[in-house]
Amino acid sequence: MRGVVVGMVALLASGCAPADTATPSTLTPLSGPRLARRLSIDLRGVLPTTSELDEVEAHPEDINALREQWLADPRFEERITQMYQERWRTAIDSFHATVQDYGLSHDEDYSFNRSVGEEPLRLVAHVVATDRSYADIVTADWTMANPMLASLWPLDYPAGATGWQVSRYTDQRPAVGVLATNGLWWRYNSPLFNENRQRAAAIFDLLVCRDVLSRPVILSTGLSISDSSTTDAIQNEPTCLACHSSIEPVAATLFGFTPFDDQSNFELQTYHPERENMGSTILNVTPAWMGHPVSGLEELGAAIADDPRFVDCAVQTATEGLLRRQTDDSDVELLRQAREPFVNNGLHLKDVIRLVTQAPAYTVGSFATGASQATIDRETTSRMLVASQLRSIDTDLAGLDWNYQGWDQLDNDTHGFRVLGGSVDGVTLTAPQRTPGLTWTMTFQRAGEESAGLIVDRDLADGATADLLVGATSATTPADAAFTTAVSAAWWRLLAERPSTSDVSGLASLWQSVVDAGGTPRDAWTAVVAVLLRDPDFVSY
Amino acid sequence: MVLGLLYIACAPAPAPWVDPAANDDWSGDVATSDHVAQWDAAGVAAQFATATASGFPAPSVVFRDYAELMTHTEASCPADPMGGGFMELGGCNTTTGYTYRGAVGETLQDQRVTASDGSWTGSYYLMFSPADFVIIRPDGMELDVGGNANQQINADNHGTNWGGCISGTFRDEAEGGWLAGGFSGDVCVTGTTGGSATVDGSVSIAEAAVVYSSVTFDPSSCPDGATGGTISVRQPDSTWYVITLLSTCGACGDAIWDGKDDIGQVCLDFTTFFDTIPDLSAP
Repeated sequence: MRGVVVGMVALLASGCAPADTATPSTLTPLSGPRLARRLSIDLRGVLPTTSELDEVEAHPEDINALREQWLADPRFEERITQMYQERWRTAIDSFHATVQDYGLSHDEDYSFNRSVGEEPLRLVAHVVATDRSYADIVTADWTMANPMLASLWPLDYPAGATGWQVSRYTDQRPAVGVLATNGLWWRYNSPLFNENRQRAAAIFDLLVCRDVLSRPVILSTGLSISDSSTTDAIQNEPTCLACHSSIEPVAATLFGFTPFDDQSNFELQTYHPERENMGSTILNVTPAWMGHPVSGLEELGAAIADDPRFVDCAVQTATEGLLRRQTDDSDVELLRQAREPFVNNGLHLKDVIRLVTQAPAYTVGSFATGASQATIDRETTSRMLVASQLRSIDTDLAGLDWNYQGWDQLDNDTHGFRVLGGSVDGVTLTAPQRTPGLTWTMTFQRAGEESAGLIVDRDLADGATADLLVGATSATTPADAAFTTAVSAAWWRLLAERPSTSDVSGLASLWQSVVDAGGTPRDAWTAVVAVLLRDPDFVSY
Repeated sequence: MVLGLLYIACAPAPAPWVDPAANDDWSGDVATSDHVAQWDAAGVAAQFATATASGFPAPSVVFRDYAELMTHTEASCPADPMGGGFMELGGCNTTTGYTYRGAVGETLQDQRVTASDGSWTGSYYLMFSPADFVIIRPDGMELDVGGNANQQINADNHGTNWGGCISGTFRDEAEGGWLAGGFSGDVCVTGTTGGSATVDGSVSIAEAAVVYSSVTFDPSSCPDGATGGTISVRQPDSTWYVITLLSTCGACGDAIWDGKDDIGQVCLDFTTFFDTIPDLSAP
């Protein structure tokens, strides 16, 4: 009898166990310096400085103070722009309107396309970085613009300013934050006869994390695709209504952005207030958000901001951007915890970022004995750098400016290697690469080789101001103590780990072998740094 | 006992689930819309006057400006004729300082027969489609066109029918009227010489947006007013006043704001529309 009971208990215990959740006990955190490296890359897009690494090595708890510093760093805004690009995918390489339409030169192609595509991302990033309420992203009466956009669009850009600045459209568009940006609607355009439905779907996807395009649709074979019967089906056929009952009322609010000619930049760049009411007539619906009637686009923005799903989606977007993976049911508790301060303290997304970056799922560096296979499959102990991150890191470390005809080679796919380096292009690839591949390796190798040369030329020219090869000169060889000092400093700065004796001797052997093969000392140092820039611990974080 | 063991096996019991949305209190952070009617009847009339003060949009004004600017072209600029117009991607510059960029397909069907007294019968039809172009004058003043425009006039022994549509975004910085500050819209006007005229469509001019729905005029019998239809005037917060004109002759109509508030009789000035009829009804 006892055996039966024990058996039943064991069976039921396994049956009623909660879904696998990664508890802190199964997730071993990174060391202080490696965690600082991960956090710095996520919040600033650059590696920690040597002194910052020294600080967290001696006092791991100082990571909290560094986190606050980095959340206030000017580069944080750029990082949020990049993080949202991976999710919102607006920074694409071409739009209907082109540089030719505006009479600009081909050398301005990259600058033009990025300026357009980053407009909504910059608005979100500015809201987040300046501790504004996240609701502002759909209620603000301003946008972000740079001199390029200011010279092309009806924008009130601060006189004499440079760079991205808070600006306002002057063409009567409603105060709805990103929903009033040309950048968003040029990316999510609405083909002829689509009547803004595609744009409405984008609103659901980006702002409340509901991907209507992924819903299963089973169409009756009896349905005709003639125009009149399609319109009728959309309003009456249950299969169609599943999506269209919520899509059409949102689409109806967007007709101020409907161009009569979608090849005309003049039409595309202008808001058309006189077309606002066309939506209800053409779609035969009352404008509404999730069943709640709205008078138009401005009320739509407020209605979205008031929707609990908008808050949930903000938390989910930030969490997934930081964990570098999609969230699932096992993350419900983390999402709930992150949501609480966000909701209670004025919708500051930094509160979510603070909380998530302290969570075991973020700090994990390895698995403790007993971690389930589901946990191992889900959690990312090491994240792969992608092209957008490599670009900011190498620019900071080496001053790398990998450019071709004005195109940043790590940030485009027309001429460059953005997708090959693991980032998203926003059209064909909509999520960053998670595991290494051949083109990713080659991209990182070429960027590493070029950056290594720049670093060596800079550091060996003046050892006193060297950032990586501290204390080395062009005369330094592996026989000198300065060699060990220099490569150890570089190792520490690049990998956030202290090199072992064998690590140093390995680099010394490499240095010597290059010279033995006829290379110059510069070649040898370049090889050493290039190897570090391809180290698995450099290209991951 | 077995049940007790089973309970223990599943412990710890989960905390009661609380709907996170139940405690949300961020709504105070959201600038909710609080729309009200901002104008009284006189204010609505003033906004309508803003939209119409510089004239009623007539495609012939665009055609005329375009024709004048095309007299400055050179053999190689613009280089690619397209349907009577041009296609110049990226743009070209003439030696006299004019820039032509974009594409315009121009269709002209002029089948008029002129009588000895100068009158004519037959038909005249001019259309720009597509019209996505900019022409920049030497002084930097631009004609920007994005959309379509057409004008048609048919005359026979019984009278003259005319009509024109302009759809898209247009601006001519060198113009003095409605085209100067930029026009956006999609509006058509049809009529008969000496008879009635009907306006349908939408117009944004000078930061004022107006929608005309089957607004009819009969200048011969009703020289200062309309004879029916509705006119909507936009408030800057995207709400609208809808003025229902009387089917008898008059320039006034009852105005409803946002589908709910009656703000009384609004009286409108249609002078600039009547002034535009000659432009609409002649080639």
